[in-house]
Amino acid sequence: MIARVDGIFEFCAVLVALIRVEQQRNTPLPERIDISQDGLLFSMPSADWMEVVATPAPAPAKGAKTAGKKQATKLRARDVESPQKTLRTYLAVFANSPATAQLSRKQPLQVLLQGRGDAAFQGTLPLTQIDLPQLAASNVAGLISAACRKAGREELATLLGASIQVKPASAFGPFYLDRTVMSGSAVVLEGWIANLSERAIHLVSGDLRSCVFRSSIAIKPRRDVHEHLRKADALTAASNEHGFFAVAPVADEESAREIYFLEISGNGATATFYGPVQTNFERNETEALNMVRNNAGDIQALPKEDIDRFYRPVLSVPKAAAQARKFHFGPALPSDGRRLASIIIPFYGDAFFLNCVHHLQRVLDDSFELVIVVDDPRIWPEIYTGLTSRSTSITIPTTLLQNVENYGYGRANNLGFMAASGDVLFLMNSDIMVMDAAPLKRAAETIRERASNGEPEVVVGFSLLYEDDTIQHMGMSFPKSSLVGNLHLADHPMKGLPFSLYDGDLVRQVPAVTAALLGISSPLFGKLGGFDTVYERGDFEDADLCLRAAAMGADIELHVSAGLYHLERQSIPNMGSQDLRGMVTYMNCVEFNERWANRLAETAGSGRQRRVHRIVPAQQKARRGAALGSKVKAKG
Amino acid sequence: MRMIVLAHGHPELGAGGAERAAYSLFQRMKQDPAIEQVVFVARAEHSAIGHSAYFGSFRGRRDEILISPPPVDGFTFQSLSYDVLKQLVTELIDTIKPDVVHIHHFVFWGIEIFELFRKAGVRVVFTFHEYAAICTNFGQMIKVDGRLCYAASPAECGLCFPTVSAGKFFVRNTILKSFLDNVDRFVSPSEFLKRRYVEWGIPGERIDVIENLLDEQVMRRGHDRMASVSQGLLDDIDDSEKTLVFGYFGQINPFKGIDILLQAASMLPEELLSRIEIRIHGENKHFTETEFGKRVDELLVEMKGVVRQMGSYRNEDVSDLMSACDWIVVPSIWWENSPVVIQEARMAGRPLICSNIGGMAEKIDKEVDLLFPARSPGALAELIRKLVSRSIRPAQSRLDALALARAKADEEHFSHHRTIYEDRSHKM
Repeated sequence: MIARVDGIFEFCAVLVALIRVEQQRNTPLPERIDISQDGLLFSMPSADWMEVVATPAPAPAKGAKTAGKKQATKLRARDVESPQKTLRTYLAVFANSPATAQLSRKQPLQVLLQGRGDAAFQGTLPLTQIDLPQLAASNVAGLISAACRKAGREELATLLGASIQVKPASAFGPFYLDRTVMSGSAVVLEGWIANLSERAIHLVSGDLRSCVFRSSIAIKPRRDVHEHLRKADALTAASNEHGFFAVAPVADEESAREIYFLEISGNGATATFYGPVQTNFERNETEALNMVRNNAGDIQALPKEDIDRFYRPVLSVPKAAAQARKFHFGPALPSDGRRLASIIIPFYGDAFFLNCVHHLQRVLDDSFELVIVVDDPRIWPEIYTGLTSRSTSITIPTTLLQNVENYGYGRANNLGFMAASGDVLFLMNSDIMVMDAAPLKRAAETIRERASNGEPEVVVGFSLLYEDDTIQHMGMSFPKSSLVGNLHLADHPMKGLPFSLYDGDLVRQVPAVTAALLGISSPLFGKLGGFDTVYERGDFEDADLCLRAAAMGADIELHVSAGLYHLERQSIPNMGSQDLRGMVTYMNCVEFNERWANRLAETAGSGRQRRVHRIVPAQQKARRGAALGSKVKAKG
Repeated sequence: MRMIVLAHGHPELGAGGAERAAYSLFQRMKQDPAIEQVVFVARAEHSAIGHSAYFGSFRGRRDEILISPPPVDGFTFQSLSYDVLKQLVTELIDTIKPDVVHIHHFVFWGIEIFELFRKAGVRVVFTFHEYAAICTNFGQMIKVDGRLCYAASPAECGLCFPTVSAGKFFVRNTILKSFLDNVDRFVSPSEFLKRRYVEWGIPGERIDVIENLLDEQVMRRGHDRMASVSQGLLDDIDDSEKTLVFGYFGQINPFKGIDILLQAASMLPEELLSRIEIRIHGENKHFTETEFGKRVDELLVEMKGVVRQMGSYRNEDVSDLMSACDWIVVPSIWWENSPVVIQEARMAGRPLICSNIGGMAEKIDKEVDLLFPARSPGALAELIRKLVSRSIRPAQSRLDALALARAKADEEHFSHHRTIYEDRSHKM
């Protein structure tokens, strides 16, 4: 048996692999196909593959212009070579994997056909664009349509079930794009299409990776257009609803450059792609948000599905595969098998807090390593020179990651995790100042003890102080708040009150802790898949991580001691306008509430927070004394 | 004992009290047979070195080294090129092999120098000359809107610099304090300055209060003057009708309060103006284009009948120039530390009129000197009016006694320094 993968393409968030197998009679197919890129894995057993049956494809004339562009995957059906050997073509269609959108076209995909025993095929392939005319000319579209129907993607199934045509934009009839603005991972479009109210029109990005279906396009009356069309004798509809507004998710600027209008004929038999049409977008976050607000309404007034449809793409950083360059400073990692705790520190917006890293070099011992993740190209030069110019003062093994783009807080940490070598992780914001490393060492010990005793895992948070010795963090709670439409907030009780007034336990269980400084075992962080990147720009992902860890049986502990400062939120104001910040928080809040509705109702109880105190065992009491000692010292 | 005296500038390349104090100490150390070698190391602009090396010598003197360290971050005082600084300090230590380094400033050097010397086994003595570690507004403890500042805290400092968060001030404090932990003994020329640093967090028992030494030339001329007094060469005729001369000595910048003195003069009635003269010793070089410079220029024009602009002066002449005045005025609008002008006036046997705050209020002699409410031209005018109309003059005998005491005091100050250099008790 000879098997190979001929091409992989994506169409409207459906990933399709084209597999060719030269089969002798009764030889079994390979076991499965694995497609991966930077930790994303798409796997499908051969039982779920679909065979492309013989519908001879008309070979396109050489050099013929196709809408599908250069790297088009050639789709051919079965080639019969000899009576004994049959060359068959199969499709593996991933119709319901949202992660498809995260695949990058700039990097190759790793592809494996797992044979019965060893690999039948292994190699790298580019993620290509489907060739529209060829799609139209084979039964491949029909197969993908069936897979989409099975996956519940009805609109896409209908579209692909039709006979596909490609026509130039000039054949589409009168239309105009008034404004196209890009922000986050979306292009926001406003314009009009003649007689829109009576036509079934969808928008497809130029690279065919994403599609805005008719159901997600807001249609608006446009009297001026109506009048114009009437004068031009181009009216076929009675309604004056010609205007439209849509938010089209796009992978990158490249995919935002062109769009197709896709019109389904009245009987559903034909699907015609008109285009491509140049969008000539500008990049402007504020403008994009204004357009969304004007057309869709305030974020706080919308149900979650509309927030996800209109606001999320605009507020999200693009989720294409994350890449970072790696640099090393200071001593090499120990080769004697000594266990390390890895401190992961993402940087965004302000390089000033590199000073806190310099300070860390002076307070940590050789049981730590640092992983600094620069998630902001603007401050990279400052951070890089800051470290190189004082290389001789770096005494802790230090890895510096230069993210190729801004990936956001959650993904920056997840990248840091991949570069970390410790069995214990500390996630640390750049604006944390550690005056005393003892609490970190105690937490690492606690985390390791749990593992070696076979006890449940523990996530450790810390009491954190502001610069004036008032409380910044003492564990989180989730009360409801009228500020966010009576949803549950991630609240910090006692925030701003003097630390000296705290007389609670020095180790206690809490519902969640902030990831501004959080200790967790590497295996647990890995098992959780790190932070969930559905949360944008550094909000709620820590609360979510804690609740997911707790759902896996982990304890969430707060360790109280002096000497850990969080000079909070100094890195936030640069992230965008105050308004944007508020919208992102609200969007994350809605996501968090929906996901944890039951759990939140439980913790919030009757509206008052339930504080769980644990009986402190003798050993911890001794430590508690030690912690108190350091508290007194710091105060004195 | 081998020593380095380290300063942020050479007094011959730019006059400032702290540089002069450092250099005076260096001069005195050279007289001490117990000190095997002492080298004065001053930071300088690279152009002052005259060749491409980081180091050079001042006028070819073998024990006066100029150095041009890499630039320093203006907020945290950390070197922007730590590795280079470390290399320079290491070279200094390897070459001079000091037992003790007496640091007079970290600005222009980098706050890391304390750690670098300390880690190399050199004992570190550090003299505070102003509030640089406490206050980011030029170390003056004056708020940016001009008000006097009584205490620093991250939140309040953030009010002076709205673009810098309280958290960043906290980071600044933490960095500075952690590096200052490497200092074996601190010296403060005034109790007042010491108090401010104690309030900021330096343990009081680690700070000795020792007055700055005066320049050896100033001392010599002072001694000469006193000798003439005792020989009766100088007649001190009590002429109550004589014009009273008020002398101002020092840099002309917004902190030194020259405008307060000129405004006070402008408030005096005509008949009194004819009986006073104000002599300004010092040049207005750097502030001519500022609002302060313009205000001073306008006042100088307005008061040209009363004010004599004497221009800059050589340091060794200060005693003689002061002797020619009846009163020396120190109208600074900031706290000061221990102004060298006060010490020089003491040596010249002249009485002082000072602002009633900080190091000035502490350093005056209550029998002969006078204070006026700081920053109040009206109050200073009233004081001058009284002095002129009532012909108030302090007793010259008391002034001479103070001058004699001051002449002797430097030996005590130096021996106090010596005990600190030899003290090995402080352990980290």
